[in-house]
Amino acid sequence: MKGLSGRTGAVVVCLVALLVILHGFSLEQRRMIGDEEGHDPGTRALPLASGAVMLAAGLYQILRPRPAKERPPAQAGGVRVLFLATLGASVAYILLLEWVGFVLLTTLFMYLLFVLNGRAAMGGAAFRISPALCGAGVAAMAAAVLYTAGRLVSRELFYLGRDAGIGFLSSRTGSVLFFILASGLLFFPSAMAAHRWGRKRSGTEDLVVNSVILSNGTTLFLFVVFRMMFRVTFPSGLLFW
Amino acid sequence: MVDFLSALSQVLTVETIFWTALGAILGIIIGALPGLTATMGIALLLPVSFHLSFAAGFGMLLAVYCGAVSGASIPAILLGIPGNPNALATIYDGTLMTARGQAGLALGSAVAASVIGGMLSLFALILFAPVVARFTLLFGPAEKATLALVGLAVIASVSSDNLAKGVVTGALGLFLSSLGVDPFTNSIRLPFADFFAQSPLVTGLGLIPILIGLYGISQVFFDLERLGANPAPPTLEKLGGVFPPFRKIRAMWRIILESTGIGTLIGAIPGTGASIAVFLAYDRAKKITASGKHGLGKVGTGVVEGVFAPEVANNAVTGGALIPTLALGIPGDSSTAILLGALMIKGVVPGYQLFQQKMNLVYAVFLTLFLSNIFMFAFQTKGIRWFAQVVRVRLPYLLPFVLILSMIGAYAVSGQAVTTAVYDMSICLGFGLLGYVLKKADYPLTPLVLGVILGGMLEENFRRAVKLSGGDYLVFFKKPIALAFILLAVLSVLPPVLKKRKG
Repeated sequence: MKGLSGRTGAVVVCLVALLVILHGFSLEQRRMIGDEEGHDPGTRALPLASGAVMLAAGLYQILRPRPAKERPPAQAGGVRVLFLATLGASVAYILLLEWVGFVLLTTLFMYLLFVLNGRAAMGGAAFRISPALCGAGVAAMAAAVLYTAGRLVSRELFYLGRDAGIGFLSSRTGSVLFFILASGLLFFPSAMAAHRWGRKRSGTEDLVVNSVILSNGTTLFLFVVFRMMFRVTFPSGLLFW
Repeated sequence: MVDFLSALSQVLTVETIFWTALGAILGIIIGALPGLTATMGIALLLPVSFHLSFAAGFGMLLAVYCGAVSGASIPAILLGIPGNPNALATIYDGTLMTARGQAGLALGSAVAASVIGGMLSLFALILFAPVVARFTLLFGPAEKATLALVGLAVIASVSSDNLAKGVVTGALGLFLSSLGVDPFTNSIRLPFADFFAQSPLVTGLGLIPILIGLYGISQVFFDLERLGANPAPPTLEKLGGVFPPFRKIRAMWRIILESTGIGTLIGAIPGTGASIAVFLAYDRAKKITASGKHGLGKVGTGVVEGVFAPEVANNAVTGGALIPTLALGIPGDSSTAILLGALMIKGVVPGYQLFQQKMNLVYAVFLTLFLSNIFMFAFQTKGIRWFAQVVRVRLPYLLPFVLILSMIGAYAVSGQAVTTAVYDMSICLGFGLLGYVLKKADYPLTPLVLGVILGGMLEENFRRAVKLSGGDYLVFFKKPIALAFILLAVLSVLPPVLKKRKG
């Protein structure tokens, strides 16, 4: 991508500008209501003008390039793979979110990214695939357990509060607190124990354990903030309860 | 008085105080993490502000802004790496003081300087914003269109060392703002309109997904390259005494005032920002202290004065940058561009009408900015040792978190409609990729953002002005204020062109 800063980039800009101009011409030229005289520059004005400015600036760059600057080194092969993997995982996350559901997919997505990034940061150190695969299963199971515990406790207490007329139990604050308590009571002790265990193991196992903990912690955090506090609707997917 | 009391009642609530305090803490952490900027922090928290009241939401964003600008001094002083460009000039004296075992004093000086700069610039904001806003009473469609042009021209010229690249991204932003429905005719302006007519794209591109994508996701992609060279977490020495003595601060009155003036003025000029202000302030402080008189240490030799000048200036930018944002609707820097977006999303239109009809909201902004500075000072003072640990957070653990926060943030904008929310997430990822490609190719992002934000204002007023003048496109040259703005736009793009010719 380093070549895009010079003339190649300017050519791309010109091509994009031409597409913008073509798009501008393809629009039906309509004028604002009440403008019978036709003084309004119309629907096409902004797309055409912006396309023309882009084209002019692109052509200027082609015709009068700046003196060659010292360029940063090209993207290393490992970085390119990491970049593509991150991008691919992000696209898959968007495509699968409605089917797999927020809790499971976010945990797996985060786990994958933590492992990939951690592996990249390990440099040349040996990395074993089998613990990483086991870790993915553990992360997903832990996410399901944490979610179920939090959901079960907060929901049952909500029903209890509603039936018994205890306002706090059926309030949003109460639900959030009970969810955090139930899932947190499971999460923190097991995370601490797992972290201690991982520190005594090899680089890969330590990374996998940390990734499991962090992916679950992140998912819990996002679920509590966005779902429980801000009432954002997340797809339930496989964890439909 | 009624407006002020109304604002006070909005600000002095548990909700506003809580979110502003949280914003200050998050801002300091974001600022302290090398690579994360105030702009990115505001963009990431924009969706959260969406779910809060105006005072709480905007207060939180302002607190992130102040906190991040101030927090950037932590890695600059301790590691010699600026948390973001705002702290570039703090490195010189900060690292020298750290090497001498005075890291605590350097950090304490940065905190004290930040709150002084922030408060003095808030005073300037209160003083000047209403005056500048009153000026907008003279503006008709022609003036408003050319004002938007000035904002774009200035930002395009200063945000990159290549004017043409700034112009390209600015124009691209304008084009992107035109996608969706034409506000005057209701006709759909989309490529393959028949295909996209049933998609959420028909209402145009959402501002928040664009902002989060450009500043959050693109930064993650960019930082992936740093993973291989991820250094081991630094070991922090025990931090020494925290604050400089009061008489020292008093002796620096000239440095403080000049740095505040520089920061506020530079902040108020659209498109400039703190990275320029800090060097100007540092340079002035160097000249002031050159003689070594009045009990001032020579800047550049590892003294408190060398930390104070840039830190006062970069926090003074916060108030200064809000002057054109609130008064004219033209942001002072990329962070205020997002704050402007946040205002517009909340239905607040900057300009004289805001000061005339919704003065309570303006007072709420002033009060929350005051509160933000107080929280920033309090948390950084009390937690100086704790925040210093933030620089030890490792990039492999940070990047996935920023990525998912960006994507879920974009999702949350339309959080009640899953399909639209997933679409917003796709837009966010798409713009993250676009931002990454543009950054790699040295194209600045700020003109793109400003183009998207100002596109509507520019088009609406341009078309209105031409229509009202009976189709006369020269109307912009016939009105003195509009003509002055055009000249200003030309003047703002001239220096880079002349510099290039000379070169």
